[in-house]
Amino acid sequence: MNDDDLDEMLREAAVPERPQADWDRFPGQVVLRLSSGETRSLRRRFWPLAAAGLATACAGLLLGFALWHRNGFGGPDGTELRDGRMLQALEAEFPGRLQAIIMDARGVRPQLSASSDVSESDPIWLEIREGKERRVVVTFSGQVIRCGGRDVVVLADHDGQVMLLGPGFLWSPQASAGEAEGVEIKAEQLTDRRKDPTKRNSL
Amino acid sequence: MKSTPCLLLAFALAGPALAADPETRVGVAVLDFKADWHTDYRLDITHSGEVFSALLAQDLSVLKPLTVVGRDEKGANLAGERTVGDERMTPAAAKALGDSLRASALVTGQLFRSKTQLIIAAKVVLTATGQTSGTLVQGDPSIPLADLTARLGAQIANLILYQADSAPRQWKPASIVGSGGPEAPADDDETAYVAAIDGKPVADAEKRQKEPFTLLPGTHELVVRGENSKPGYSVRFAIQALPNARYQVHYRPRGDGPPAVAQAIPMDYRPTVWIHDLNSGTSIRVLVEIGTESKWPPVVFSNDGFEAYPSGVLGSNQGSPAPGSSGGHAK
Repeated sequence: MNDDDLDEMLREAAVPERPQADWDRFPGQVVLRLSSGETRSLRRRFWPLAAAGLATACAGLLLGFALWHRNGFGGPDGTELRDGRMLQALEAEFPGRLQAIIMDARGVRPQLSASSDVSESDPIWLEIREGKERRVVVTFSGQVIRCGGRDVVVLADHDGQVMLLGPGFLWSPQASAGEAEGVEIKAEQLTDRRKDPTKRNSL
Repeated sequence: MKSTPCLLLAFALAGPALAADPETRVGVAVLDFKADWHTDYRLDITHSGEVFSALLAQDLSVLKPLTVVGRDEKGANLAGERTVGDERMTPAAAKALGDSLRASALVTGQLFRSKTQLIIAAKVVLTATGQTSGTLVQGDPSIPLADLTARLGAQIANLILYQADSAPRQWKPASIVGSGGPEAPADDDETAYVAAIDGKPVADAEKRQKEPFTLLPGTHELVVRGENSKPGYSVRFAIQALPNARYQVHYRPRGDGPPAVAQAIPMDYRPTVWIHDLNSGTSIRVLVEIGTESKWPPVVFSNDGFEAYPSGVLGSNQGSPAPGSSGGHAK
């Protein structure tokens, strides 16, 4: 049989009929096939996303852990706190709500107002030592922080003189009274740090 | 800083001096300062925070362009219990309080007394913006409370002006001289001189009657002694020294001072003391005369009339009397 004979025979051959039972099972098999194929497709898309999310979460946790437990933000002296970059970032994140940035043994955290009512003023750098505890606070004139176990308001004048005033508590570079006499404080007004982060003062 | 209780009480009673000047623009409300019992005890003043706020309000009222608001005619704080001394007071609350008092700025603070120093810290809030600032003064007991208050008043005034984008100002001190000064009338046979300022006696006061003494702008307690050929009187009173003013004290053994004095004194045998403003050519207002111990209490001349307080009404329970303020006729 040559190729032409074979082609002739195949053209004349009839397609065998399927039994009726096959047609009855056919829709169920199609649905089953489609269902199992969708599941595999979803699984194929989920795992890369899950892996990426897990990796991001782990990276975030590691970063948070590192920030939480390091000695200071940007170094032992909190230089990145002082040069205004963190202040600028947090003010952009929380416009009108940033009352203070506090760095202590537990890490760095912002202190926020419930509403956007923090008036604009030059930032103030405070280093407070109470016993063995040391913390650095960057805040603004008129804001309230905890010091000496009480709420005190941080105040500055137009010459950059800073004082802390609270019930039975007064601290300033010139004079202290009340409970402030047991607290060691250094203060400096940071002029225009947010406007020009490259400017740095030396304490 | 001793001998001030009389002065402070007088200031608290001196509300009419807070009349607003139409030229001034910046309304300031002085709320009550805080002071603990320890400070009250050291200063020998009950409720020294409230008394000090009245004194500070008096001093701020002479520093143009400030106008003191939020006080009644007796100088009491109209804000009552409300105070920006509350560390948690919000800018919105400060604005509402400022609106109710018609104040552009609110002032409050605290008095502290350490072993050797009196420290007065003030907090200033601009009601429109919530901008907050602070300043303080301190001094040992040799510095009169009146001077500390005047210094704090000037610092507060400049804080307010700075925050309101106005240029800082300097308010020049006033001066006061005895009747024998260079501008005394040629036929004047009187002798009147400043015997004490803010509780501090002037050494060799009679010999130094031609010497001008400095008064920071604000309220001060003076003891003026008047004499001629007869035994004279010492009188103690408070005045509001205006910036850059030049004052001269005068005394007459009888009520024959300026025409207004002579017309208003019903008993012309009473001695008269008054203060002349050499710049304006007028007699300045004396806030109140605080106690003398003479048979016939002197009359103190005022622009607003005469304010004569018989001996004992204000003079006996006001702490230790200033040197020279008692003794009546005794020279």
